[in-house]
Amino acid sequence: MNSDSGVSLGHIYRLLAIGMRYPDSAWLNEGFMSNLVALLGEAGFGTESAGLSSLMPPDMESGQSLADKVINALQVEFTRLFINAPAGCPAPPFGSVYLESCGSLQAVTTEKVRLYYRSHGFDIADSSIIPDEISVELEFLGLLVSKGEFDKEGHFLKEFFRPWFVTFRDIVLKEARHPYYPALVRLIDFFTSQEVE
Amino acid sequence: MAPRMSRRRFLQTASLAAASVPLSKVVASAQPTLAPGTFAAPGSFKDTKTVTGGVCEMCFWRCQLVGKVRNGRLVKLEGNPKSIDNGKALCARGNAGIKLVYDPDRLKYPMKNVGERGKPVWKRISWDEALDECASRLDGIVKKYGPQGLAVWYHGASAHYPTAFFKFLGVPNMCEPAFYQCRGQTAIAMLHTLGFVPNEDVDMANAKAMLLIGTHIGENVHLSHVRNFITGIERGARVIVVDPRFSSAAAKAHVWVKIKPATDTAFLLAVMNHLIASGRYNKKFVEKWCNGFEKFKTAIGGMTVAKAAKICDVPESQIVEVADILAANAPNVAIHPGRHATWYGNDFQRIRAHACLAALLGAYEVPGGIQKIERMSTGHVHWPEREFKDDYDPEDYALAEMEEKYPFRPPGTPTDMIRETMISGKPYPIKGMIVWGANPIKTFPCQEETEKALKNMDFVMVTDVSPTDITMWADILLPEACYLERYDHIEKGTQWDCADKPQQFIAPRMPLIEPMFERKDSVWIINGIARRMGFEKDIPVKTQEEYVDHCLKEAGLSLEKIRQQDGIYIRKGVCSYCHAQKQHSFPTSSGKIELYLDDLKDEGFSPVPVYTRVPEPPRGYARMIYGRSPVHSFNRTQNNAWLNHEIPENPVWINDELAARMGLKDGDRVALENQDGKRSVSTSVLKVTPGIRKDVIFLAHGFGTFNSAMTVGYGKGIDDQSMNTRTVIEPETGCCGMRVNFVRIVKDGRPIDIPA
Repeated sequence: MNSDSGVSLGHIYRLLAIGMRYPDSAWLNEGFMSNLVALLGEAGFGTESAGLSSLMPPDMESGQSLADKVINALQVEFTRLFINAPAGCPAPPFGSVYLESCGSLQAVTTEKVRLYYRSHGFDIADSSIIPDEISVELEFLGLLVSKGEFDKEGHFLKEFFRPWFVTFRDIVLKEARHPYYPALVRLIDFFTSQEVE
Repeated sequence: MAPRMSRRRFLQTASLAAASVPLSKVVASAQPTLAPGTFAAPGSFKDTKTVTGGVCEMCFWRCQLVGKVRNGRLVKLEGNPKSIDNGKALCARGNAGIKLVYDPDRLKYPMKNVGERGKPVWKRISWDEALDECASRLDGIVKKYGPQGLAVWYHGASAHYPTAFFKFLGVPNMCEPAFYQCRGQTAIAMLHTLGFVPNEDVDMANAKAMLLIGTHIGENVHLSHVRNFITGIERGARVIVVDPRFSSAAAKAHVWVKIKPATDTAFLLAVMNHLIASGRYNKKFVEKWCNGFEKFKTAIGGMTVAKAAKICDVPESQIVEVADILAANAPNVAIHPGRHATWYGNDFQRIRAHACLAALLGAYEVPGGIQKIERMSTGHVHWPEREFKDDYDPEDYALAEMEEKYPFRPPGTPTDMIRETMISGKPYPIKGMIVWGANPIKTFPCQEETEKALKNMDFVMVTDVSPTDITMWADILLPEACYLERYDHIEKGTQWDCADKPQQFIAPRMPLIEPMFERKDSVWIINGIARRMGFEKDIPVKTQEEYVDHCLKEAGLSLEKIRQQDGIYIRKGVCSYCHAQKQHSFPTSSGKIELYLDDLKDEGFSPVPVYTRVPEPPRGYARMIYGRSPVHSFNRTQNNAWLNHEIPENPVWINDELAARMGLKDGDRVALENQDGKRSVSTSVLKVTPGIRKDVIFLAHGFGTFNSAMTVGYGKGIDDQSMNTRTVIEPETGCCGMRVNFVRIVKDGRPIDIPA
């Protein structure tokens, strides 16, 4: 793969990373959604693409109340799936929860991820950021491929990302009550699985 | 649906022409989470530094600790080697603090309940939105109902600043339920009898004999406390344990008095009566330091050894043996007042009896006795005095004052009075509840009443570290930094062994790591609310750090100075054995220990300790008593993965002969059902043992978490509090008795009566 692809993989990773952040009108807007819908469609996820497309108000700017409704629903869903919920949030978006035997945050595997970032010239921008949160790992993958470091991308995917993402993906597909997150994890799966296999 | 193409192919062909905005523009607008960093060579894992200044809060003994921190991540906790209290040691809970910090179930962001109270649906919101809503809702209630429309249930060191703010707001009813329903009445009984509150300052390490009634040292693991107990045993002390159950302490005892529950006061009175009748009390001490001896002697004269033996269901010879051991070793005897002693609604008198027995033996401020420990003093942060509208005076609305009840209550309004008013709206409506670090669902009896009260509120704000049971009833739920991530409590104490060189220490809690996510400390949260309610100019401190520094100033110290001392400042102390001689009085109104307390008589209570009978178990049931699990602090540690791994549930103790007659065996899965037909939601394992009387069922308190958001502790073990559908409110103090319910065993869904 080369970095002159028609659509930059670095940008795609970054879009996926942003998509896994807490839903907020600062990024969850027509521009974002239209790119996501287009990505889904072109990657062959027609059903998911159509599903998300129908959620969007025709014009997010003028259909502000509808947009707020979508964002609100996604915020509730994000909180339930990834933050706190009765019965426990089913899919904490942190690698160590899946990779450590007793499911801690900030565990040894988290530290290894951070060290990996640092050994490649990056670090978390702020100490409150958890290095192995899914959106941070996706952003790092984007930075690697933007620098043309596809071998390292493959290594990171194999050693750090895929070992937990697969479980995370399955839980989201099973537990989600809103079509957005299943679509997003399918797309993340698409862009992170094939280079590893 | 599976994709039709590979990623490689996709990237070669995709155009995203359908997108309305170029992808590059969309992604460029978002704030990055990663930034250029410096290269870290392999081997960076070795760069672990020791951070001092930690003060534990896995329980409330508050051992001093240090953290091993690597790359901002806490990897290990250890006792602070400089500590003259716990030393290098930490208990299981202390070590497991690390699993609290990194528990994925912890609260991370402010959340709004978009479902209903008790069945929450959470939505993460910003701090601005959360504080705006809290401020406007609290303000709205104050405007509509007055400040008396709010009430507070709180717990823990981080609640000091919030409660000071709510006092400033004019809130007249605040309560620490876990103090009221624990050692609140013990403290007050001691205060009125001795003029000071000795807490657990009993010099067991240097005692020649110890009497434990209602304390399970060893199951109740406070490091220096346990060390004191064990050292006393090592040095040859005779140990007497009075307990219906063969507890860890009983296993170390020379005499185990297998007493019938609820009769301890009769036992204590008989021991005292026997000591007096046989002339083996400390006449010199009593004459000099005790008030009302003759009246006391007459009043307890009816409780003979023979009478008490029948009441307590123990041999007469054993009561005499206990009295003999105590007399032979006086004054160096440790009469321990115990902890979590709110049992029958008549406990104030029992605790007074403890204090009176120690007085008869002269066991105060001597090796082995109850000590008045002199600690360093620190200051307080106060919100300014405030003039309220329309001559409003919070005191006029304090429920206990208004109803002239519970004259010997611990500080605050009895928990149950607040709850009753929340439900009834009488004598005035309480419509807003602030819960700070407390978990009243688990802390006091009659849970359905608590839930009813919470549902009746216009607004419920809860601040906590984890999604405990009470958080399910919040409208706005605020995530607090935990004890390893914040400044707050200033621990003050002395060397753990009173016989050692006297020393005093001060250890303010300092963060070992930064809080993750959007967790904040109490000063930050309260100031945010105060500002929005228009009290910006009244805010006394801007940060927790400033708060602690302000308090330390009185001791001539500062955080900076203590940091330089590795987190603990130590100075020469005062020998506690010399206090009485120095002061020549106890700080009571008579200047002596009040064997006979006129204040009690004035309020219509017995001025000397008195035994009152409590209802017996109905046919087919046994009294439910509770205690502690050595690796848990009741409910607050239930979700800790390490601790839960060690002790995941609370075995239900039952007498072996009884079990055989009931067809039960050790290891059976059982539920409990109480006298009102209330059945426990969850089950636990049956422990069949000869080490318990036939008329009681025992289990450790705090298990059976209801909130499924606590994924580790949820539904593990039986919640003993859920069996407490009845309580007895102590008339002196307003504390709720928690050993007044009766249970039978349920196996495979079938209730089995307890044989007579």
